[in-house]
Amino acid sequence: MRLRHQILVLSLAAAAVPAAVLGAQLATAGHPATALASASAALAFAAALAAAFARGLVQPVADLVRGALDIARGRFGRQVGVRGRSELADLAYTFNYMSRELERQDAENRRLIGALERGALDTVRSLAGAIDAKDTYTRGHNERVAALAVEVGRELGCDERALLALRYGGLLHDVGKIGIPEPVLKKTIPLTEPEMELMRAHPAIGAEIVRGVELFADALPAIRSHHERWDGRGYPDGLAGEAIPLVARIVNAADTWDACTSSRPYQRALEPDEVVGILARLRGAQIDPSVHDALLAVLHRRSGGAFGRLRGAA
Amino acid sequence: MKILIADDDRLVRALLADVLAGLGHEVVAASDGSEAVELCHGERPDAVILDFLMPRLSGVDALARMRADGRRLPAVLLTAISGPSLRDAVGPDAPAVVLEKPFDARGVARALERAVRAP
Repeated sequence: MRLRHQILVLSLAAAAVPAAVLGAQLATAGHPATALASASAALAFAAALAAAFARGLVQPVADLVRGALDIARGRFGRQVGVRGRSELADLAYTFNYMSRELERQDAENRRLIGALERGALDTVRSLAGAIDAKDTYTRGHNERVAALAVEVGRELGCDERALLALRYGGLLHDVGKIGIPEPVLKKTIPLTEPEMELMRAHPAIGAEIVRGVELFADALPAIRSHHERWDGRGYPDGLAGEAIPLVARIVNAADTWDACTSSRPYQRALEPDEVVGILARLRGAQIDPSVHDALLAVLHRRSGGAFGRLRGAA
Repeated sequence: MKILIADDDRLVRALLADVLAGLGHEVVAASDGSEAVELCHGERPDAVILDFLMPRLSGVDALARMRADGRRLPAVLLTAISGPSLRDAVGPDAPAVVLEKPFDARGVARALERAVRAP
């Protein structure tokens, strides 16, 4: 039963007994009309009092319910009105205190999470920097691949978790090169077959390096499989099509773009237009067609529309 | 006596400091529970007057930390909510005199006296 009904029933019951006794005496004394009038007046007065009291009780409780629901939705700091000095006012007062404290703790937690995330990213960056220092890629290759991979991922509608995996995966995709002897990494003439074998080991080595680091769990597939090809002729596992994790397909495409547009010991940097032609030939062979198209859309946007014509041709 | 007061309301702090100074006590003031605990460790007050609902650390939790080293620290808890509700929240293991807001100078003096005399 609702509070207001309970109060009404209690008040009417309390008023009915004396009204009935008084009414019976007045009726036997020969005043039936007065008996009826006084009993009605008593009951009406009791009902009116009960209604007023119930309103004062129900309204603050309803406010508190609304406040609690707001807090459940994460709207910390929500305050409710405090009326009078009853226990209900104590509850409202304490509720407001709880709400403010939740807001403060929430802000503190967000600050800590932000600091942790920045710390993690700094750690990944320094790890990526270690590869940069050893490899002969132009500086910043990993940063550029990470940034481009995140943009392509966003274009493909990836969720925040996947975007973070792309960021870490992009930064660390070549971390396995730490395990490749420097003379092989820096060689400018074509590699011998054993040397090629060694180079091809870097995605698996990279995956081994980050395995067991919880933070990189989502990025691990991007590191291990970024040299797989859509047609199944890549390495290390020879995966094909959608068997290759999406994050790896995206990092693969971003890596290819950046490798072609920056200078290497064995090649000069190509013009963006040339690279778009290369990407078009790799579409469906090395690069996932949908990732290729998303990459072109991103490059198109970045260049302010210069790739529009080429994109249309692709 | 040296008395530590803690309340997030500046007016309450000013009022308490006034009253206590009038009674001849030395006053140190904090604006939240954590600050009060820190001040208590540094200042070693003879008694504390703490607001019950303070930011960062409630008066009860602050008091528990102040007494963590086992010393008997006379304490008055200020509260805007009614005494019985507070006593339920405090529990029997955090002995303190409860002083309801609004209070007057005599109320403060009496509560402090009771806190100091309490076993």
